[in-house]
Amino acid sequence: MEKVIGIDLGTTNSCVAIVENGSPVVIPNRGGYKTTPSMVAVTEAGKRLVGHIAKRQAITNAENTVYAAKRLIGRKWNSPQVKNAVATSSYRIVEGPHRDVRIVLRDKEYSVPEISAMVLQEMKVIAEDYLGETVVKAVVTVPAYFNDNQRQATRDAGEIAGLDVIRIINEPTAAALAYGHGRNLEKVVAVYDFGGGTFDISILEIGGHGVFKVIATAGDTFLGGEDVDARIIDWLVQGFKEEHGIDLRQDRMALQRLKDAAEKAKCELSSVRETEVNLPFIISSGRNEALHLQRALNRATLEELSEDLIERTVDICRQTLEDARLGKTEIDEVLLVGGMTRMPKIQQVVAEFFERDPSKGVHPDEVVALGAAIQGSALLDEKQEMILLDVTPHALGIMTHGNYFEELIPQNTTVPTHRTKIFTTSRDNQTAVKILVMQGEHENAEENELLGEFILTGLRRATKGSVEIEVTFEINADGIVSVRAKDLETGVEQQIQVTATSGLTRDEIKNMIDGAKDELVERRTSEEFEGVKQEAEKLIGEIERLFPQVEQIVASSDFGRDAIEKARAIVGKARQAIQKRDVALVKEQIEGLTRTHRMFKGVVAKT
Amino acid sequence: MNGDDDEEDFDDPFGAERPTTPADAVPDERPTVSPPFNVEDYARASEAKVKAAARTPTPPQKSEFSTRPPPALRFERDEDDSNIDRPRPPQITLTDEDVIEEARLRSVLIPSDLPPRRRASSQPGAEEEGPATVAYPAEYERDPFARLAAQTSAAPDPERALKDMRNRFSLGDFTGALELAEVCLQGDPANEAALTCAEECRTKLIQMYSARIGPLDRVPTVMVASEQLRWLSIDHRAGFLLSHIDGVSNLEMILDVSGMPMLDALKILCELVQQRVIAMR
Repeated sequence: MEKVIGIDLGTTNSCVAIVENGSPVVIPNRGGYKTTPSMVAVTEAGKRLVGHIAKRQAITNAENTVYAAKRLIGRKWNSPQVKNAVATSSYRIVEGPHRDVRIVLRDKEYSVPEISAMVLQEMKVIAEDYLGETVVKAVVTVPAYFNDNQRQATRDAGEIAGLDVIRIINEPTAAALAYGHGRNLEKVVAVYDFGGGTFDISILEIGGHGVFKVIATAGDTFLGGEDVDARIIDWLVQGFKEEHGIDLRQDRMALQRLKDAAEKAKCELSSVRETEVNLPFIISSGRNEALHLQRALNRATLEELSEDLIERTVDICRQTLEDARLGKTEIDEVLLVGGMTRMPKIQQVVAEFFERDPSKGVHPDEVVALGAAIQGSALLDEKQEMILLDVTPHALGIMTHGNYFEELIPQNTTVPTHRTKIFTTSRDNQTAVKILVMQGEHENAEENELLGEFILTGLRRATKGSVEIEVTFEINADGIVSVRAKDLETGVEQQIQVTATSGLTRDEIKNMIDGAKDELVERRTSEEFEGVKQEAEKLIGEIERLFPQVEQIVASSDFGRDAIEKARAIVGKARQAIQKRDVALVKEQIEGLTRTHRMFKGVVAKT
Repeated sequence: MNGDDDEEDFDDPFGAERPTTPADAVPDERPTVSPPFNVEDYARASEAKVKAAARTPTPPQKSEFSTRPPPALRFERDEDDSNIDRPRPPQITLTDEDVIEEARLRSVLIPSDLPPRRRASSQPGAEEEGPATVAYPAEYERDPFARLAAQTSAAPDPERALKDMRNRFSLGDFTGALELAEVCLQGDPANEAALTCAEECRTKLIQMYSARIGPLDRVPTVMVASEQLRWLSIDHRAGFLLSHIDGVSNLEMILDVSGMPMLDALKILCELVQQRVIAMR
């Protein structure tokens, strides 16, 4: 059966999982890590770096390293989140041709889905290396608050990466799914997700028939583990300044090392009470004297440094419960998601707030990807019961007089569906109405996302409120929204089909797919070359090691001397092939090298 | 090919007499900081040289295109200097290596026919002994480097610098030629000849260092115990590169993530190999 992978495309880290023999498992990357940083960089030499390697140079090559692209995906250029990112990001963000967002790396513009596609492609490669076969189908998770455009942009990213995204699911839903896998639960679950770059709290109702309703969701897209790292860095920088009078922030290399050390210390303090930050040669003084940073950090200090950040998450939880009109006692289970929830202080604070111990049954870094893999497996296996139903992530409606949002299709409605509502004119002698199709939950229409608009004309002249217009919203099985407005008296009607857009045209996506394919082919070729090169070099080394012995043994025989000359020629050809980076030629030479090696070993063994 | 074979590719001025190194040192000894020669002999020889230098002033360098380094500047005052009853040598004493390096860079632009400096009044009779002198600007008396600074910052002779650069390049002194090209480019960033020369020098130097360090798919490992690292005589840039050596990442990855210019990173890595701080797998 075709394999389907589950991908947690995170703001700071991504994770890929698969269901094997009925159990979901996370696939480690080549470095053995189960999560991969969602970072992309382009080096001075134009080489593309993704994952850990990109993270390791994120500060020294800050202008050309993209992090947290997820905060930008599917957003319009003029959105407040984009404005914020433009002001705070180290990489350059510019306006795209369709009012979308583009990122400039080494003078080349990339769309945000293209950047996310590089991360998704990395996850695809990790899975393919593990499985030893090509993977195409995937379930990708997104935050519960993502609107249709953001979801579509994520789909486009998957397509560019060479993936067929068969379903997009909400992250808290995926976490709950992994938590409830194999158990028939009917519970109200709070998912406290404190990741590297964002914090989200979601309240879900797990129904008995595969419906996971997101009752409420809230969060802070600029609050995460990186903020805690920043506090540790501040503490280290301040201490060093007091001791040596040097501001380490002025040196990028020092800052890169501080960042890595701060993250390491933070992780260590989840399991030990004290750790040491030891960075020799962190900087050179004005007198060219190398200075070292060595400082002990204990858990209490870390908790003190991050106290207000943790408190902010609690405030958001409190507000979310109030918005959902839910009491703490109505929450049956609390799930912890995200690496930051490993911190003992956070576990303690969450337990105190929800007045119950959070569930220990799920792995905070892996649970979302595991849930996606479970859903993917269920979608492909006809024998399995459908686990999740497709629901609308946000309410759909239109803007009415006074900037109010009139909801037609509520949030979490299973699709396909259709709803109709009658509206009237708001002015005397009004002959036309403008229908603004929106998505969101705010009463104030302007707070919601505008999906499209159209005008219904030819209405009869009458006093306000006397002309009736029927508005129908319909979502088909493919998630395409159609909105129809009809003058009930004249029968005149207008309609619009709303398709979510990532801001990219089909042609652009096609070009990006081709580019990504080429990149992958190049990468695979390079990897193949490295493999054959290593094999060839190993054989060359062995043969060269045996040369003196064989020469001595066959010194008296002409035939032997010929063989040695031939062997030298083979070694020479192999070296040339390696120099040319010609995979086929190196493979060809490996055969000759193997024969020579076998012959040499035989000659030596006989004596 | 093992690590020892690779080491042989590197210039070893001390040949087979290489003394203690981390590889063969007693574990608790400081690695690489032990100089590869007898310190006491060296100190005695240096002292003799200093005394000789004090007696015989160093003649000015004749060839402006020489690849020889400019006259050495003393870094620090010797402990026993105060005990030596002799006039101070005609060398400038500095303690700041940055300043020394700056001065060294500038020195390559000094025309060989600089007017000899007027002797200080504290050295009676010197004026009569020396050749005919020209007036030396007062500001240079206060700041011996002011003249050099003025020469480079105001208007270094670009033709001379370019000529010197080309000569150095033709002599195979790519480091020197690159330094000169960079100095020229400071004055004229669009200078075609300097740009081309700088690029060619970088390419040549990268080739040289790459050849020394070997294939980039090799994985370097730190040969010094972590608690002994701080005793090494390296700077923060080398420290930064060392921090990226984890026994898993190969040279290519380290060069990618260093964020340093390829040439600088390769040079430092070569130095670390030479000092036996790191070795290749």
